[in-house]
Amino acid sequence: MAAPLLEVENLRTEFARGESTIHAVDGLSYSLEPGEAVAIVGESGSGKSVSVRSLLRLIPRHGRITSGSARFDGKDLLAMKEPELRHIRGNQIAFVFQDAMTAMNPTLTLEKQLTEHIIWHELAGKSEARQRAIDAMTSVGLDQPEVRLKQYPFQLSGGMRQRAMIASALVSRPKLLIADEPTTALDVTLQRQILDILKERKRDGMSIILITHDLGVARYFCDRVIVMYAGRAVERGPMRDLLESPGHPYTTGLLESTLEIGAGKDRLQPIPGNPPNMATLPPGCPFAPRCPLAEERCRVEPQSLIPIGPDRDVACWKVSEGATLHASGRS
Amino acid sequence: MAVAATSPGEIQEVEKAQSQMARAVRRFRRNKLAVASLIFIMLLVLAAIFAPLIAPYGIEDTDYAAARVGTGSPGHLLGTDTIGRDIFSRLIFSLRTALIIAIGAETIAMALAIVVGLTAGYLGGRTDQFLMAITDILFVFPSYLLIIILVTVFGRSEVTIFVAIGISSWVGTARLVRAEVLRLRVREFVEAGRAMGAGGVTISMRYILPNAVGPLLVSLSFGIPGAIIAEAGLALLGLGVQPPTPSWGSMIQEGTQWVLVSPHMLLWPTGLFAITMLAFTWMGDGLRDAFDPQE
Repeated sequence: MAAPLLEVENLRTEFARGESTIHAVDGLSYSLEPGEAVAIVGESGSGKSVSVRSLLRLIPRHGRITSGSARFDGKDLLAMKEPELRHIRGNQIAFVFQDAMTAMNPTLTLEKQLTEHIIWHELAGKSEARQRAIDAMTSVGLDQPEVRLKQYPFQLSGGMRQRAMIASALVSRPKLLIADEPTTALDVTLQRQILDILKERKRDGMSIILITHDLGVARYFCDRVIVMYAGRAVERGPMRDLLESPGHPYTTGLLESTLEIGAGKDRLQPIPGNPPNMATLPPGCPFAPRCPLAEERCRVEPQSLIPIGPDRDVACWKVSEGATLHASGRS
Repeated sequence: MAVAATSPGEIQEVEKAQSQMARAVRRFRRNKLAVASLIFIMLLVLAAIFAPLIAPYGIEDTDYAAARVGTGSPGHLLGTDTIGRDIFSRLIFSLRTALIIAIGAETIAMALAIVVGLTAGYLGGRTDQFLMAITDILFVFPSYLLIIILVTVFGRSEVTIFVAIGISSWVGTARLVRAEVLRLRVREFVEAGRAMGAGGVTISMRYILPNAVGPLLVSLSFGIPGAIIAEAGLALLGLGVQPPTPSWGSMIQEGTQWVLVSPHMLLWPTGLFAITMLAFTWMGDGLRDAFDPQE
């Protein structure tokens, strides 16, 4: 296969909170081929959102990217000068946010929000930009695009706003689309429609990174999954393999608490306990306090990602020791 | 693959939605006192613009035969002053002076406040500390004293007066703008703007400032009467605009000297001045309530 479109290596992002430092992303690595869709899955606060914002250096001021590289099309996004990076944002890499209600500028018309950035990036002149905006709106299923262009975000319903935001990301025809929980704020029927739009983009050859907490959503069109916990990848692998035989107990927990996939059972099995306090992580595996299989070793010694198969890595002592994980009734 | 089009249910939702501005206008209109004040202020502005058409006499037309005649005298509706100038006419023309000074001063104050507030709030860090140190120093310095010093040094023309008022009254608004920037810059749509490739200037001018219009409008509606009061105060001290240009302050000041013999000379300018100030205050209150996000 050709060179990867995006190659993230050992990404670390920290936040200063008073005296302590929060390692929001703690040594994350992955790569993405052209036309591939990767899901980054995890609970709130697992660092999945920060990890993709770090790629474009869009993190809050008290945050700092302390190490790592992110080679996009051969150039390191993290080492790049700000103007050069600005030229990539909204151009070759586009972002879709969770809630279009808050992620669209309430004082600009859709025409401005859908065309301004491609005019900045000199991808099109004004009239061509307008045409591209209309095309993008049509492709995401927004009717009457000419009328909508004159409207403000508050004149659209939630579903239409989300479509408009995706359209705005698509106008520049990016190579990589980063969608941060694009369906979380929507009801189920709309979710499906939005996912269809993304799936269709992928079919057209766009690479997608999907951030979600819902493996059911990720399964819909992603080829590979990265499961994040406490700022680290705890498991990586192809979607199908990972769903069929989850390696890390956390992945198993996520699967058992996912609606669609766990539907064969009478009830969902939530993961006990709460996501960890990022300021006081245990010395060993960060999942150990909630893990049904945790042993003494898990609590004191962290395990890094270990290959367990082709394109599969898991960060778990129990797995790398060859222990059977699925004695707990999954078949 | 065809993507399902928007459903009818989505469209219904749209009609209920309203922009922040439309909501503010609707709330403002419910406040009768504020609306009446706004109408009164608009009438004053019209009177100032069309002063030569409304005023029966010029500002320097003297009628010695009718000096200090009282209210309701033939030919002089509101009476005349010591040298027989028509008080009604001079009041109309003094609206112009007040308006020029208020608009000039507030333009300067707003421009300074926006530049300083946006820069400090957006850039943050050292720049913020430096700019806020300057505004804090100016904030504790009595602004009225600063105006007097500036006018004394640079003269009493309308321009120097409004420049002096402007550069001594931007501090509070600058802090307001900065606070708005700090509130807005962490909002998701600002981040989304950056994710689309917008630079600092674009973010400030197109994403942050337009969303801070409400508080700025309120600040402006209190700033304008503030500037008018400042000018009147200068005139009372004999530092107002150069005679014979009429101003409320100088007319009031003159009236005080004759209050026992010809009270109308004090009554009319003071009365109109007081009502105008009240109108601005009521309108400002209305605006503040209209833009109040708490409601």
